[in-house]
Amino acid sequence: MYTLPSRRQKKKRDDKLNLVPILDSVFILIFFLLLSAQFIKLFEINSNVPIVSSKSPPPPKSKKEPLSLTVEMKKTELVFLTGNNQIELKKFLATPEGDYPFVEVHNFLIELKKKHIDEHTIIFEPDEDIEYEKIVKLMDAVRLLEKTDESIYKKDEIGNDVPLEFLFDDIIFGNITS
Amino acid sequence: MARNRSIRFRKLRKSKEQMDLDITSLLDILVILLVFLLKAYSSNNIIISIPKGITIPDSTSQSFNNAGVIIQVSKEKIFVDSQEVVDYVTNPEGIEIYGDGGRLVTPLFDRLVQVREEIELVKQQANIEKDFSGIVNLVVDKEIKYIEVKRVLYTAAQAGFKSYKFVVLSQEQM
Repeated sequence: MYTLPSRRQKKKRDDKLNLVPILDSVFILIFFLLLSAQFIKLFEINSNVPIVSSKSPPPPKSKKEPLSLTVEMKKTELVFLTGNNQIELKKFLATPEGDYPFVEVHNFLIELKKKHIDEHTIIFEPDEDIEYEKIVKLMDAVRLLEKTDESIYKKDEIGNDVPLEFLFDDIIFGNITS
Repeated sequence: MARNRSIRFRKLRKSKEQMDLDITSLLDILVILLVFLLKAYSSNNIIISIPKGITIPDSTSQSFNNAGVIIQVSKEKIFVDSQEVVDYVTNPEGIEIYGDGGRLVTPLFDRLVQVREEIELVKQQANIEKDFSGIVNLVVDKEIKYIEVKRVLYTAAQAGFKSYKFVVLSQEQM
């Protein structure tokens, strides 16, 4: 038998949330994010132009001889030099495939940084036939202190110990004028 | 009116009701997509285009890019702000590429000087007191030999650009 729909039944109905405007806004947001998204993350490595001057350098602030750390990149080896007379400090031979032992180089520089905590500069002198990719890899090895590396602390102005983030982050290409 | 109430047309009446679409799963997908996009979103406003033929090297560097003139160096061409200045292969104008004893890339030098003058002119006209930054972003192919890089560095230095920023690819990709 046909009966009229009761009002109680109508009340039981769930009030559904209207999701259409939310969906619209989400779609617009996705569109803008897709437009501005940079899926390739690009960063930079800083280097400054070497200063060439005919004037004599200013007198040193301390009696301690500056580190003047220089690295010569050759096809078969990496040679670290130091001091005003550029005395050989350490040599690392490349593998037969032509790769440099970057881990060993990094560990050597950590030890060197501990002794010369205020030094930041390193001069790069690669040979002309060295690939750019290898230079960038060496830059990584000399610049950053990894999270897994032993922490090196430096006293700040107040006297607190501050952990260092960088090894030798001031990279200068010394042979661009030659 | 009688037709609306009749049992005969009950099915027809039901079909006229608004159909509800279940969009819960769609919303789930959208939210996941949004999370990934937000993760990939970079607040850095600098746009660096990498021309065809350039594969930039990987690096552990986490320093963000700075605004400056962009020099893109591939095995065959050199671009300044995506505008070709040198073509080693065809060399359409038959111009002499190297100068200053083979250390300077002449067309690149000319273009960089022009760019520098344009920047300084704009600053003068806009009354900007900030000094010329002299930053040059270098997008260099990873297989290029140092001799080419050295020439570009020397040329940039001669044109008055004092700070080199080597653009590298992050090793932490999505």
